[in-house]
Amino acid sequence: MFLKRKESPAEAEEELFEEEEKEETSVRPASNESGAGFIVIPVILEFVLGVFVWFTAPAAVMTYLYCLVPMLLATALTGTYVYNRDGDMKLFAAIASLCVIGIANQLVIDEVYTTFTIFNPVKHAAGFAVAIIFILFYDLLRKLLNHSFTVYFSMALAALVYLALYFFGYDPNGMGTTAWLKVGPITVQLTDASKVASLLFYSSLFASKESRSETRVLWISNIFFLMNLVGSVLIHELGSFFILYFLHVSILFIFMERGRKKRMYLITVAAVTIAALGSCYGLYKVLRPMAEAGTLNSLTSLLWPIVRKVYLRFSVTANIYSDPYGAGYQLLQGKKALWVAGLFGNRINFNAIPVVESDMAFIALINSMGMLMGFAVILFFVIIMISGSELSIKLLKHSRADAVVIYGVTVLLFGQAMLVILGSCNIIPLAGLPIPFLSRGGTYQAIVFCFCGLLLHMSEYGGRRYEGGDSFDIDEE
Amino acid sequence: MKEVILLTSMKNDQVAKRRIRMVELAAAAGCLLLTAVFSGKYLIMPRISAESRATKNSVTMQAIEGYMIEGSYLDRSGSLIMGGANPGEEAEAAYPLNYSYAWLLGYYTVSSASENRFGLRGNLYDYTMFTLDEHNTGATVRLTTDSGLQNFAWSSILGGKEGSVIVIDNDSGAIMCLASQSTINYDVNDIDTFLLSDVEGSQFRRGTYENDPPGSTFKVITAAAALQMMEDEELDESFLDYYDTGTYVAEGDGFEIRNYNDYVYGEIGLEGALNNSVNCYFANLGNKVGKDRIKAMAENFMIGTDIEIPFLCRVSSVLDFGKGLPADIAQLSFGQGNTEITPLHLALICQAIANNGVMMQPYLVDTVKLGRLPLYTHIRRKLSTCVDRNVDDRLKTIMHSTAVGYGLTEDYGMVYAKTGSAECPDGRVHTYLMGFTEDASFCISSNNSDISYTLYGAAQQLVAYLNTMYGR
Repeated sequence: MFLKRKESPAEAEEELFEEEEKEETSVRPASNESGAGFIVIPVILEFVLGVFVWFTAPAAVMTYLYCLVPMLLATALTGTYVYNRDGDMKLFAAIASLCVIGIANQLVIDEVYTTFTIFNPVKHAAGFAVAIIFILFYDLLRKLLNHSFTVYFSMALAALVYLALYFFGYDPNGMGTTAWLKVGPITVQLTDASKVASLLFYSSLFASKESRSETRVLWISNIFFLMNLVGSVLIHELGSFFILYFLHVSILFIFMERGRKKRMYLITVAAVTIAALGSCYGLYKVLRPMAEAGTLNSLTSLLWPIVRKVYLRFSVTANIYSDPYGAGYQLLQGKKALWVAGLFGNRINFNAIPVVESDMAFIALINSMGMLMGFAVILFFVIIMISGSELSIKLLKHSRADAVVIYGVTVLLFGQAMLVILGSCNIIPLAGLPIPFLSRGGTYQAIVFCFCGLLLHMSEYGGRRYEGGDSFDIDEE
Repeated sequence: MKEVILLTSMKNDQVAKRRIRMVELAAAAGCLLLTAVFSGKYLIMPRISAESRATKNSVTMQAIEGYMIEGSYLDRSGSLIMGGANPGEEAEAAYPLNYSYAWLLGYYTVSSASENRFGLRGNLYDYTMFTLDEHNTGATVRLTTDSGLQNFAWSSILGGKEGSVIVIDNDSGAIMCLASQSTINYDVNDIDTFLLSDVEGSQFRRGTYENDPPGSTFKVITAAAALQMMEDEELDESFLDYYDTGTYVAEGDGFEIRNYNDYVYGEIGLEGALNNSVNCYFANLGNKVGKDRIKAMAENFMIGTDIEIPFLCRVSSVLDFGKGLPADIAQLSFGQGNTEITPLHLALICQAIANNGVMMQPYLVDTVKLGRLPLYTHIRRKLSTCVDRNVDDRLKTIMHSTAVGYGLTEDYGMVYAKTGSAECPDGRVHTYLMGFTEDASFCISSNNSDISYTLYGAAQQLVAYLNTMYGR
């Protein structure tokens, strides 16, 4: 009984697959059973939010009605006739619901709060169109992922983005961040392109046919990571780097082979992060008198805005009342909004929340529509995270490149949402980023729609869209 | 070789899969924790913790104090009692409403550590301050009171003397007037006047918080219990006969109960005993009726049970038979002992008798509206059926003849009344005169007068005012 038959690698592989198949069939219902009923959720939400907008911001209700027809068509028709090929309907419902909540939130924000810009439904629809085009051409883009040159191409692309922003960057908000590029009448937030470049980079790094040693993977990824850091410092945009940092760490943690070097690297990253934050604190104390005296030199004048920003973000999180009318004002107003929100939104016409259309969009949502809606939004983001993660697991069997892309997309959507939500609620330092679906920003929303389109596209056919056709190949040695 | 690489790849995928699941679980748990913390901190704690509610309300008040306009308070006819302030300013009431309504309206202030609230403004702040319309004005509260009556009661009947005047509509239970005068002269426009005195109990609203022995007013309850017993057991009128010697000693007790001024009445019935408020008669009658029947009747009149006046307070009372010995029953039967009741409750007892034995829930807030949107509307509710119709009619008969004895003759229409003097534990004596007309029930209480007949004149003035008000 102690004798065990020796398995060949091929048999072992087969066994592993069988186990996984069994596991999946035992846990999940047949996908055609989990079906179309979920479409009802966003459809109901679209009508409910109409009533909500009517009560909260009556002047916005007409615009909402204009948006309602395409929203209903997009939800019902797409869900019923286009995205019905054994797709993940929970994911579809979550994305559609967040879309409609985002639109309602933006319309209410325009009517209730003081904002710099006005929400433009046409711009929103343009982002949607960009996403459709992106998905139509994704098959072509996907083919690049298995080529090793894509790694270097992505690095070059990211470098180009930062250089372009450093030399030609535009700061529409006057906050000192040159993350935008103005081309004629169109303003594009180019830092979002670095997220796409990162996705291509990590996907290609872990999936291309070129076999790389553990050390080489770490070196290449680290160069890319540092390039993003330097680029972000140069354009004073640490928010985007914040999310790229999490993408980098999570992708390496999950997809890199197990080993001592990986462990050491991740520990080092954590230690360096803590040390960097400590340095910022020390530098702030050193540079502050110099900045006040106007005696900063060329190096320290480059460091000072970054150091000051990091210090203020952390000090305000630690004690919101440390600077209630300066750095802490926005978060203090956000905290008030949370207190007065109640289950269905505040009844005292409280609307003094700065930058409500972007960083504080979640606070605006809770303040206007109540905690219940806030919880619903968190639930929908969790559904996206779970669906994306599960899809990534499924895709691992057929294509590591697809798995990394989908996991990266999930991290970028969920991670960014939670970072900003937690930041705006003063639980962690606030990163000045938009929240997927909820915040304003044409470029970012287009990217979000592209990411969501990708999730939906890859989840069709139970995640087996490319099974057998274009799977991961191993070169024979 | 390819197979070995494939297997290695598969193992790496297994590791990746496990880690994805691990991150997935951690993220979901984190979100669940976030939701739980937010629910707890911002939704649940303000409902269960006074400190948390104070924090919430303090934040809310800070956010709105620059633009909020406190909602108005109107009387039953729609006349303004308090309100009409400019944005960010304190609402005010015009003289004499600022005094006559002060004890009803109260105040609301909040700091991050505690809330300080009293009266309607202290209980309705969520509507009048924290629910604003498009003009940043809080909800409007319509009361059941009559401002003319309220001012009259405060200035002419109380006239600066400590006590209270309560008038309740017979049919609905609506409080038409609840005027109070304390040891301090509280001006609702100036909260400092509320905090001036350090006299214990100075900040109580007379009428709803002042629990004292009911005195002779309880004789009405004893009479009702006796009449109900006669009705139930078909006893003849002789049951109510008694020969008064001026003293009464309960069985097994050495304490001698005496009539007021040591009067001796000889042969006397229920009506005569109530007209003359004969202590010995009711001490004897109480023991004849028995503890159980008196207790049941008192409970029918809600004595011993808290009565809620929505948005104002809960009116409490105590029904105490001591050890239940004949001496205890005798004491209670003419209104002494440890039983306690408020002036408002006495008015409510009259309302029940006036309303054919049905006690209605007393209420002061009729509606709360934000613009035209109703946020609250009072729905009339029966509290208790106290006595049946026959008993009620007989009570009215004996209370009417008692009222006539107080000078409330037929010139005032049909008036029914009974006085009482409460001997308080601190040696003070409170006097009451409770009664009712065809329209409204009332109770006048005076805190420092030891003889109830001093209230006769006040009752005559009040009834005359009520008759005019109701067009009689």
